[in-house]
Amino acid sequence: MKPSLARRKQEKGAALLLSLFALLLLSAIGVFMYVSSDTETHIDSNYRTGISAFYAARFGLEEVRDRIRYTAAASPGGIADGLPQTIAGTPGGVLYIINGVGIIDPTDPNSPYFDDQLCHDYNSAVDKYTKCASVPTASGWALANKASLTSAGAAGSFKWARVNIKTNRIADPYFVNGANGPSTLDVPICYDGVREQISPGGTNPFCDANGMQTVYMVTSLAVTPGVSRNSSRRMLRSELVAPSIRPAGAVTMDANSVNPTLGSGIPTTTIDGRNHNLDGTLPSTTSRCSNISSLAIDSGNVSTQFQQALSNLRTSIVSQANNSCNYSNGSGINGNSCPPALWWVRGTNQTPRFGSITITVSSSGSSGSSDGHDGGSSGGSSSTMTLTGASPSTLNLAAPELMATSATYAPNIPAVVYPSSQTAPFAGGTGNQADPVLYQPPSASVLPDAFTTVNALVASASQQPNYISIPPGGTLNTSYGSSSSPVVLVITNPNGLVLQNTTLTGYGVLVVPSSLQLNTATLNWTGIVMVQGGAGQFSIGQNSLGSITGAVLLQAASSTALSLQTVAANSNFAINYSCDAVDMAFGALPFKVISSSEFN
Amino acid sequence: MVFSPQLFFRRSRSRSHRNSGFSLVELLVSVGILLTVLAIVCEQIAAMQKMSASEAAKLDITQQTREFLNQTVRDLHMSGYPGPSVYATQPTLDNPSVAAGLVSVSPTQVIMEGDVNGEGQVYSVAFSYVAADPNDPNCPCVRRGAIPKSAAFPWAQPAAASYTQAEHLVPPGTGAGQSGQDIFQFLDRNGNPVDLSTGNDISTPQGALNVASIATIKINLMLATSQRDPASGQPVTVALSALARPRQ
Repeated sequence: MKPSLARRKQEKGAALLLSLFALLLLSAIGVFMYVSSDTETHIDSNYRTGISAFYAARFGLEEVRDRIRYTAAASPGGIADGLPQTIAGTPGGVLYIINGVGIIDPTDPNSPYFDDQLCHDYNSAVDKYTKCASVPTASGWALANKASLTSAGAAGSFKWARVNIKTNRIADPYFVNGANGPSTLDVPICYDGVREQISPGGTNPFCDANGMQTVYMVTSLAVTPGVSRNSSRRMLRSELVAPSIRPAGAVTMDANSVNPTLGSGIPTTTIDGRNHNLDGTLPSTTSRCSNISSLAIDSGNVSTQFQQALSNLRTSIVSQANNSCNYSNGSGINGNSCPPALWWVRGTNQTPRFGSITITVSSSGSSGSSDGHDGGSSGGSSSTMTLTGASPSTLNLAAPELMATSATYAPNIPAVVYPSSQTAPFAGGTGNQADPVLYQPPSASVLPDAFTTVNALVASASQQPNYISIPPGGTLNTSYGSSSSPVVLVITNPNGLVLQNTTLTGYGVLVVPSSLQLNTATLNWTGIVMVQGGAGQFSIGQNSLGSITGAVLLQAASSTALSLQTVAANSNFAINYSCDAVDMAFGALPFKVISSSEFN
Repeated sequence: MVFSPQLFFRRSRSRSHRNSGFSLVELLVSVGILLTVLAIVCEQIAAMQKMSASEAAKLDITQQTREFLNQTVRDLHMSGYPGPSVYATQPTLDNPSVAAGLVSVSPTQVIMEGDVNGEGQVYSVAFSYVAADPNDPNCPCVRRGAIPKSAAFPWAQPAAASYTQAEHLVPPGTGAGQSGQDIFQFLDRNGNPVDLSTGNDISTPQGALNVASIATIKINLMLATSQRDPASGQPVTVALSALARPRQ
C-alpha cells in the first residue's frame, strides 16, 4: 500500500541531505587524497625519470669513451680513426653517434632532440645564454653519423652524443690560457699529460706533433619517454683525452742541461721521428698520428747546447768528407773517391759544397795527410787553410742523402738516389717549428708532464702481474712480453743497466735509473724506454745493434747532464717513433676524463 | 481510472489526522539513531581530516626533501668543474676560477666547489647539519649555502649568508630518536666506505688522498612533521636517499 502524500510529508527529514552531505564530504576527501597521491606520484616520477635521463646521458658518454679507444678495423664500432680533425663549424668538425639513425636527428631544428648547444662550440655569434636554433653553414660540417651500439631498453633514453675538438671558445669563460682567451678563441686545446694547453700549432689541430694529445669534447643528450611533465631531459658533457702520451720527439730529453756526445763521421744510428707501425715499418697509408721531431728538449738553454752539438756533428761529417776523399769525378785525395753519401756532402767539383772549416795540413807529405782539399796540400810544414764553400751548419742532417748508396753526376751537388730503407740520421716532423731535428715546446711543462704520465702508468702497474722488477744483480731474461701482453720492466739498480754481450727483446715500458748503456749488445724494444734520474744517460756504444720502436724518454735530476751518444763504430741502431707502440705500452687504459659538467 | 484531486486530498487529510504525531519512544529512537549515525560520520570525518592533514604534511615534507636532494645531487655532479687541469698554467686552489671539487667531508657536512649554475662562476657550496638554532625553530635541519668563491683557499672560504634548508630533520645517528644512519656516506669506486679517520679535507696530503678516493656520496635524510600518524600515533616521518657521483 502506498503511503499518502501527507505521510510522506511527515516523513520528510534530513536523511537525504545527510546522505548527500556525507557523500559529498567523502567524495571531496577522496578527490583530495587522489590529487595528493597523484602529485606525490608525479614528484617521485619526475625524480625517477630525471635520474634515468642522467644515467642514460652518462651511458652515451661512456659509449663514446670506450669506442674512441680503438679503430673500426681493430674492432667494430671503433671511431679512433674517424674523429674530427678540424674544429666545429668547419668541414668535418663534428661527429654524431646516434641512438636511432634515421629517427633521431640532432641537426633538425624542429626535432625535439635538436642539438641546441652546438652553436656555442663555434663562432656562430649566438649569445652563450641563448639556445641554438640553427646549424653551421659550412658544407659538410658534420662527418657521417655513426650508429650507437646500444639497443632499446634502459639506455633507450640516450639519443645522441657529439664529438668535437675542444677550443678556447668552448672553454669560455674558463679560458685555458687565462684572461687572454678571446685572442685564441678558435685554437684547439691539447693535453700534455697533466694539464690543458693551447695548441702550439695555432689553428692546426695536430696536438700530437707537439708532444700532446688532442682534447675532445663529448656532449650527450638523453630524453626519457613520455610527454611534457612525465619526461626528463639531461645533457652532459665530458672532456676526454687519451691516457697515453705523445712524446715531442723520438728521443725526448728533460733536464736543466744536456751534454750530448755525438760521434764523428756519418751516424750509424738513426733517430726517426716519423710515425712507424708497431713492427717498425713505415705506414703504407696515411697514419693516424703525426710525425714528430727526432729530438725534443725542454728549455732554451738546452736548445742552444744541443744545437751546438748538432753543429759539431755537421762539422765532423764535412771534415771527414773533405779529409778523406775527393770530389767524385777526380782522382781523389789519396786516390779515394767519395762514397755517395760523403760525395753528396763533399760535392762534385773542386770547390767543396761545405767547407768553412779550418784544417791543419800535415808537413810530412801528402801520404796519409789530413789534407782537406783536393790539391790543397803542400809538404814540408804545417799550415792551416780555410776551405771555401758553404758553412757546415747548413748541412741538413735530416737529408736522406746522407745515407745514399748510389748517385748520379751533377755539376756540384749530385742528384742522389737512395733506397727507401735508408734513413737520414735525424728525420721527423716539424711540430710547430721549422726544424724536424730538434723540437722545443713552447711550454717548459710539456716534456716533464710526459714523464709524469709514464711514471703514473708504472705506479699503477706495480701490483699487476705484468710488472717485473729486476733488483741489483738480478738475472735479466732475453725476452719480455709481447705486443698483446706488454710488460713494465723496472731496473732497480741505481747505477742503471749495462747491456754487454747480450740480447734483450721486449714489449712495454722499460724503466732504467741513471744510465742505459749498450756495448756489443742487441736491444730490440717496442714501446717506451725511459731513463730517469742520475745522469739520465742513454749510450749506444760499439757494436750495438737493434732498435727501439716507440719512444725514448731521458730525464735527469736537476743540473745533471744528459748524454746521448748517437754515433759509434760498427753500430747500427735505430730509434723509430711509433704512436702505436707507445699506446700499446699503455695497454687498454680508458680515455681520461679531464672534466665533466651538466647543462642546466 | 480517473484521477480525482478532491478525493485524494480528502483521504490524505483523514489519514493524516488519524496518524498525527510520533510517540516519545519513536522520537527518542529516531534521535538516537540519528545521533549514532552522526557520531560515526563525524568520527570518520575527523579521522579523514587527521589523515588528510597527515598526508598533506607528508606530501609537503617529501616535496621539500626531494627538492633539496635534487639540488644537492646536481651540485655534487658539478663538483670540481672547472678543475686545475683545464688551465695551461698550473693554478693554485685559491684562484676563484678553479674548482677544487670536494673540499671537506664528514657524516654531517660536505663542502665543495664547482660551477653549480653553469654560468661561469665557481661557488663554494656547503651542506651542513644544524642540530639546533635558537633563531630557527625548524632545526634540526640541513642547510645548503652557496657563495661565489673568493681569492682564498677552499678551506678558508667564508660561509654563505643565505641558505636553503631541509627542516625538521630527525637527528642522524643510531641512538634512540635518531634516524639510524649518517646524513652523508662516502663510498669508494668499489662501493666500500671510505676511511676518513686519517683526514677528511684537502688541506692535508692524506686528507686529500682520502677525499680523492670518494666515488659516490649517499645522502640520507629523514624528516619529521608535527603531525602524527592517525594509525600509529607516531610523528609522521619521511625518509629519502639519493646517490651522487661527484667528479673530482
